[in-house]
Amino acid sequence: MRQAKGVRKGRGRINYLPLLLMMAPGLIYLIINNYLPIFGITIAFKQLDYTKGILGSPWVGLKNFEFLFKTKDAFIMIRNTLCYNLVFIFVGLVLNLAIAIMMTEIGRLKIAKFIQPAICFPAMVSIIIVAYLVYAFLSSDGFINNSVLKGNEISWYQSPQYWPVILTIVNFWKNTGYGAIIYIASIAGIDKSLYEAAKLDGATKMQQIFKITLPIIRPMIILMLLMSIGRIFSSDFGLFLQVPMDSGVLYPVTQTIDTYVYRSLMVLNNVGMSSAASTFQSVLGFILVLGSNLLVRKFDSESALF
Amino acid sequence: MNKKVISTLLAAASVITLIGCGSSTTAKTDETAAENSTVQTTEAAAKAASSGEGSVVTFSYPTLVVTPTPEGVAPVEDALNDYLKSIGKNYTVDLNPIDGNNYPTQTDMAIMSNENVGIYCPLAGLSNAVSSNKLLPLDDYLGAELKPVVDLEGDQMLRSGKVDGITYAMPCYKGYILYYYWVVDKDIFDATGFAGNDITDIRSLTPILEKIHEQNPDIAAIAPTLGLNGTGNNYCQLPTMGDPDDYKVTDLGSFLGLIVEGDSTKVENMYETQYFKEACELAYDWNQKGLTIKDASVTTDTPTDTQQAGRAASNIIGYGNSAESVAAFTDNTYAFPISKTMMASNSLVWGIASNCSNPRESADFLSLLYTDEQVINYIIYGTEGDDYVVTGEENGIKTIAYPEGQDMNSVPYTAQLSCGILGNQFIMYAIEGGTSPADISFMKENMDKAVYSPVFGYQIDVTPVSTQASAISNAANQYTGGLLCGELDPKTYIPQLIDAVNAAGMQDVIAVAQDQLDAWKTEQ
Amino acid sequence: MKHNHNSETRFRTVCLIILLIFTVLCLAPFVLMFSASITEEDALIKDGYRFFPSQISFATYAFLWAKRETIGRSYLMSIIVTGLGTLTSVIITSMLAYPLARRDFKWRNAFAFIIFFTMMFNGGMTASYIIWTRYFHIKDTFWALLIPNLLMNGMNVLMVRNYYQSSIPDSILEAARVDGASEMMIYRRIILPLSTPVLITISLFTGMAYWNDWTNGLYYITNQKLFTINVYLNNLMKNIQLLASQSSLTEGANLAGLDLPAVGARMAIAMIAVLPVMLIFPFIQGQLIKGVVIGGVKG
Repeated sequence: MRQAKGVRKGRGRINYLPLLLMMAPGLIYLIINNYLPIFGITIAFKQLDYTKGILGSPWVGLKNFEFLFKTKDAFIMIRNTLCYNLVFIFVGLVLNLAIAIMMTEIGRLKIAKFIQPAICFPAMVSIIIVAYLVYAFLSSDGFINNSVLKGNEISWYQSPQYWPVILTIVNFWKNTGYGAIIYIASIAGIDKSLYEAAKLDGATKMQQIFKITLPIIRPMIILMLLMSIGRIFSSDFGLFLQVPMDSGVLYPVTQTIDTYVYRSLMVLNNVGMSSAASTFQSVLGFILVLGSNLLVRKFDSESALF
Repeated sequence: MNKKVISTLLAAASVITLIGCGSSTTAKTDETAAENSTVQTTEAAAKAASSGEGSVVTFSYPTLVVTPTPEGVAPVEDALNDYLKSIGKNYTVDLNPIDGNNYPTQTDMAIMSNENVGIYCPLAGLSNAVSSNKLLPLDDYLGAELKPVVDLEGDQMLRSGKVDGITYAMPCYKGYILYYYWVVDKDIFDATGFAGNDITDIRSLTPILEKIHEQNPDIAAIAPTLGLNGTGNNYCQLPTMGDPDDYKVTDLGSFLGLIVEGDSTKVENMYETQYFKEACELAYDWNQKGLTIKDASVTTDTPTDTQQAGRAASNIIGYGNSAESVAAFTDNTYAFPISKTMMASNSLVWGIASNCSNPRESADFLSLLYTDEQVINYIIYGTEGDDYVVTGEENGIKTIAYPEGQDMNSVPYTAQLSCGILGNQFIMYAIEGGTSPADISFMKENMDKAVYSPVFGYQIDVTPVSTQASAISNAANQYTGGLLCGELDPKTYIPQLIDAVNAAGMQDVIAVAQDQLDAWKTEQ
Repeated sequence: MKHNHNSETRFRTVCLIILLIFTVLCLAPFVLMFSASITEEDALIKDGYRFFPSQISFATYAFLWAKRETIGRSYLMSIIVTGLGTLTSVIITSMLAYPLARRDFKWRNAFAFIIFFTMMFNGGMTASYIIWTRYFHIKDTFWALLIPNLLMNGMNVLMVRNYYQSSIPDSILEAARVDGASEMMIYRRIILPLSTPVLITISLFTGMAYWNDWTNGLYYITNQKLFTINVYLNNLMKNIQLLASQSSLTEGANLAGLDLPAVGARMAIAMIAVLPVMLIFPFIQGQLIKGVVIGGVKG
């Protein structure tokens, strides 16, 4: 809670019981839904045997992890995953904030009630459908070749050089509106009188944004950043597999850890190996978040995750 | 601060330990459950033997597009159980239709969680199912309950249900022999001046396609066939490249690119063979001449749709049906056979889940799916009157139709689209609009004189080389679609593909496959 | 002041223009989707997707109309699951988040870590399935759609916690406590009403997750009567794809006579799946915008 000046921290010991009771339903759910099944992580180190169950299956050490590294694609897929994610996270943050600030700016206008849901619509369409829509634009007889490039058509699905840009555009088109919602809500929580006061002092719009809005919603920004960092080794599987229509020529720029795992296991159908891949992604993400959180704690303890 | 972190970690650790305990309890429950079930099995079997008391056989099967509701299944189940009773069976059957899309996931999960799955079809492959212990060995029942199936299908066919000499499953019995047809628009073909007997194999199509292109420059001469499961779209599948009358290449798993040629049992890298090279060269040649559609490697439109829509003049498609029937499937077309497959491999097999508590009864019912006309037709078409009506008989096969005003979507029960997955296709009724009785006889005839591959029944177990296999499947995916659609120049890209699969460990996989195959061979 | 006012109007206009352009970009694909769904199947394959269909046909909708009973039932199921799930989720999420936002709650960081941990690691589907089906017997019941994985997620808890921390002044709580209000009362009378924007946000997120989910159906449901609209449509689409491509499964089943609308159906199915959300979304988001206009609580 925002701390009002002059109020001392807590007044004596508080009674924890009511607080714990309030937390109980949520915590019980987490225990059952998330912590009880956690023994399943061991699948990553096992050769699954259906008659022996997960715990009874024989251990195989790190064998299930081998396929992620014993390939010359290892570098490419890790590079792609990280690079796309860095762009998605940081450029995405700027775009989300920009949309949120602009939305609050036009909030009073009637049209805002139309614009706000409309920009979230792309997030509702399944990625397979998005893939077909993209295809409508980029196929040999698609809109772009037919209208814009008439005469010098480009064979998009055979040209890897364009795809980093295409995938980035599709990603932002799909997620920016939806991703802005949480920031809009955060901005809604800001006390309006702060802006009135700033206006009286002659602050420009930009000054208001950088001196009031952003500092106040900083904890939310940091939370979202930390969580994205936790997923930095994962990727939106549909975006990288379905949107490029699984075109082989594009693999050098579309192969991510998730698509590699999918293509590897499509036929092998090995639960241990897929589990190993997600464990790998989680562990690295976890370490990164712990590290980043330590940094955050040092400079801005208020915004730290825990 | 450090202290706090440590305490949090400790807290987390203690939670994990707690869960550790919880999970070991789970394991124990597993074991006890397993023990219980074995106890139950023997008890149940003993009881059944002594007092004739019935047990319940579960039958889990995939349905496509239309999945019957429990209300739809109940009357069929009752009718089937009445019938079973009337033929003196001491068990009843629980029908468990599962949407085909969810089927592999749900059956795997259910076995893992020790639920009743009973008789089921391991769609992810037999060797995978056996290596992870999802299936019961059936050897004990081959001489008794399953004897009728053994007699029906014959030893050769049954090989595809064996792993390491042990029988785990019964192959689905149906028309496996495929003809590859070149399906072409009548008017367009007639205009070319070529005749039917100019078409001998896939290579003979080139001049005809060129002529079509010349006369119809606005549309593609041929549409690509869609690849399934990442095998890539293509113009020329391997079976269409061989001698049309004597094609003898066995694919040991297309994703791995392993084949066996002719009568030899030497495992080869498919990407290095003449067949593959010719297929790519032919596709590239067609592409260079402008005979193909653009973006062929990424299209998702089926060849039939593409042709019907007037975007392409022809397509190549594999069917078990006769040429006349295939031509009749699409308006105004000819169908010319360009090659025929042999019995090379078969992945549609039915077994009994490893946690099954009444394998003997299950095996008995499994056998009825192949031999009892009543049983299989209850499962495919439901009950007469409610779900279908009999219209007559042709070639000794009963013909039926949906009741007046009803169709597949509206009848209470149907599993019509599963007819190619379940049991014995040759004792099923022929439904109006489905495979005709004439075609069923045609397929049966083809099965009876089928040529079996010398390695029919051998299934590669990739578990020892799964790392290499995964790398190969990625490397191959990258090139095959483009090559087989003629978009990549084979001169440059086949060597790249070969390098890539070799770097991925092709030699290891070949060595393992060869060892397995040799061992398999000695066993036979 | 005047200068200031002008620059604000200018800023607002620029924002409006940018957002309008973005809106058009976001809506255009829906027009394309709709137009594709009413284009004649053959024309669609021949000419590709067009904003104005070359040959109109409602065949795909007719195909779906034949399944209206199932689709209607699935809609109802989706609405119930989404409504009930979202409501429960918002309540337990905010109740869990509130103590974590209290600076005087000593174990808040430990609990935050426990929650965060669930976001990073999970035991995978198989283990989760075993727990839910073997010990809670939810297979093939309504609860299977509602409970596993969707009921609460750590991200939402932490977002709500952050919102409480930065937007609700301690002084208000302090005052309430001095007046003798219990924790539950503070939560109900002060926290909940003051946190509308974030509660709307997580309702949107949770609601969307419930509406779009088909994985619980994939794992836990065999009875078609329990399918939600997305489980049903997702299965239908995959089935059509499976039948359209040749595979060992479909050899033997004569499919030529079926004439499934493979291409147009995709778009019609997508339209049907998102239509209700598109209708309801504006109402919920209107509330969010209202919150933006009114602004937060004075500290």
